[in-house]
Amino acid sequence: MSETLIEVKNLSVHFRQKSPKLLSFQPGILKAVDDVSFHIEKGRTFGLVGESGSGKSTIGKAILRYHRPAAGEIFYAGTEIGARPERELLPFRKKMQSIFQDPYSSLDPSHTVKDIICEPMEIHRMGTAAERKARAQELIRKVGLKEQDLLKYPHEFSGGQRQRISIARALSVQPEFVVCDEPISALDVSLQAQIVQMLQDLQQELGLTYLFISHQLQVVQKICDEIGVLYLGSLLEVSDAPGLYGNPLHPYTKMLISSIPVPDPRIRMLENLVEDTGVQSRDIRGCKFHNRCQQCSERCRQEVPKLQEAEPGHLVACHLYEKEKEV
Amino acid sequence: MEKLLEVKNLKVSFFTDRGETKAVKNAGFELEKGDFFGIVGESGSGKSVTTKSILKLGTSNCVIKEGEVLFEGRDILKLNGKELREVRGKEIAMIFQDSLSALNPVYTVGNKMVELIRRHNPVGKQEAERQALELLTAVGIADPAKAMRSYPHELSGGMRQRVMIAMAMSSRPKILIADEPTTALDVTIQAQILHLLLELQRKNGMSIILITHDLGVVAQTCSRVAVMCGGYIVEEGTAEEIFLRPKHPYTRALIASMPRVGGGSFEQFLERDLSDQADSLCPFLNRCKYVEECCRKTLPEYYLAGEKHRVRCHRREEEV
Repeated sequence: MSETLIEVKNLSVHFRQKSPKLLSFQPGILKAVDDVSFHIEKGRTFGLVGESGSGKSTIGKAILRYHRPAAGEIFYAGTEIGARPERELLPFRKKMQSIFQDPYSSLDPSHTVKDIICEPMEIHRMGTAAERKARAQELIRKVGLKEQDLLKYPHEFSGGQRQRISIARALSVQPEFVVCDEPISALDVSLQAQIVQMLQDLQQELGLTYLFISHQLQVVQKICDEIGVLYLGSLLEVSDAPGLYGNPLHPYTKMLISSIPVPDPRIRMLENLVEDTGVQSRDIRGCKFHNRCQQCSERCRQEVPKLQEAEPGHLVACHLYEKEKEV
Repeated sequence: MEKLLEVKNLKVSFFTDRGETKAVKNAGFELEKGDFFGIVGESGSGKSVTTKSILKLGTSNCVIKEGEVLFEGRDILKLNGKELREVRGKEIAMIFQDSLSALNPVYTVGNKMVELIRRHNPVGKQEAERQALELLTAVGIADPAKAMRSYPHELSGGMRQRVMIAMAMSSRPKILIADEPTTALDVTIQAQILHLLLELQRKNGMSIILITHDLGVVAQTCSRVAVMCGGYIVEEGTAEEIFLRPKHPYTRALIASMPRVGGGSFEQFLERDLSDQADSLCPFLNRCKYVEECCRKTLPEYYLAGEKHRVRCHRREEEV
């Protein structure tokens, strides 16, 4: 049994928003993440997929403690960090880094690449200036760029190259855990493959643990050991990639997979497109997906299904699979 | 079938401080009535520039150097401003990827739609409003009256794209150009929008040009496909020909590099080619596995692999 690096227990993250009611002083609360639990073993990759608004980025940011959880616990190598005050977090921040989606806005345009890569090391007071520079040189080669590139500014690079710089920056402080928040979504297919390959090579070499966030199901399958499907802040299904793609259990996962256009003109998937009846709604009772579900029953409207093991290593939160167990 | 649009020998360049960049080096295709035509390629292959040039929508530094765009026999590129306005939006409409920036943020959807309808048809305000409601219902908006009162930022991405389509449909165009219409949307919404486009095309007999980098989207919608690479159309044929019997090494590599559910994604991938290449050579030269002596000397001409299946490559099939 390998060691668990990240464990998330019953995590909820809420945002305040303008009250939906006119002339009411009660602030509205948006439940971005609602009672989510999962864990990531050391050296492995956990994928989070879901549509926009499902809370996948919020979970990533909550683990990094950019957001304070409203409820629940987050463990880093056995230590609870979810409720810790900011000043105690610095040692953990060094071990946890992130790569973001937009390689244009995530790099400071007024800094050279060297400054960008060295800044995290300065913050964490690692080494002397010369050592930091040597480390930057080593990293820039590792991500496939040239040493001369350290003197350039971000605008001189293409999207794929910028993403490489982001990776070099994240790795500068020798983290153990990296949150990859849609790192390849803004890139061309041909570049996506290169960045995925590089992330995998780095994982092998440095023993990194990843949380990989994406809205594209077809992208996460290669890099992830385990994948969680999110819908409006709730985890609906967790499985390894072959289990999720070969045997999706939750109706929502099935809907997502069947919506991906197949590059084969013989299969006319749009012809038998199931009419999507409902819209996403956070404030419904019971299972959040029930208004869009084809197999919805009375129980789904009343009771929230729990995430349970339906098959070995394959968890699903759906009443359909509980019944099978009882029979 | 009736030829509706014919793009011939199109060459488009951008002029910047650093000199000339040839975005489209040679593109030509024909569109028949009722066609669902797809243009695929990586970013920078010239697919958007080609279609924008059809309506002369390029930026000020974008120059159409050569070529003809014949719409029902008339060359659009030779029209004056007034004639061009008659074609734009009315005969050929266009929708874009980023629906938020394509809609005016300070006007309600209803306001813009009424303006648009009255721009092209001599109808009163109330009649225009009625038509707008009808159009919004036709594109699958559940509460069209509410959508009419909304500002663009109040609608979701999928809703906005539906509004864009409704606006484009308002003048009953003969051709709809859709530039990456679903790229910014979630998969479930994407499927709905594509379904809508297919339906509109079938019901109204409209022709659609769909630009995308997603081969899956093309396979699911288009009857004919052109593959662009480095400013050239390197292969063109029916969807079956392109996906089941691709000939050009670039098309094959593109199909092989596509991530698929359940299949081996990313097993093979295409290296990106950023070098500026000599115009007179094959655009895939630097990345092609099958480079031969003749590839380094001349630009290949098209050969026919099927009745209407053109391939711009020196290699003939069989050998693979």
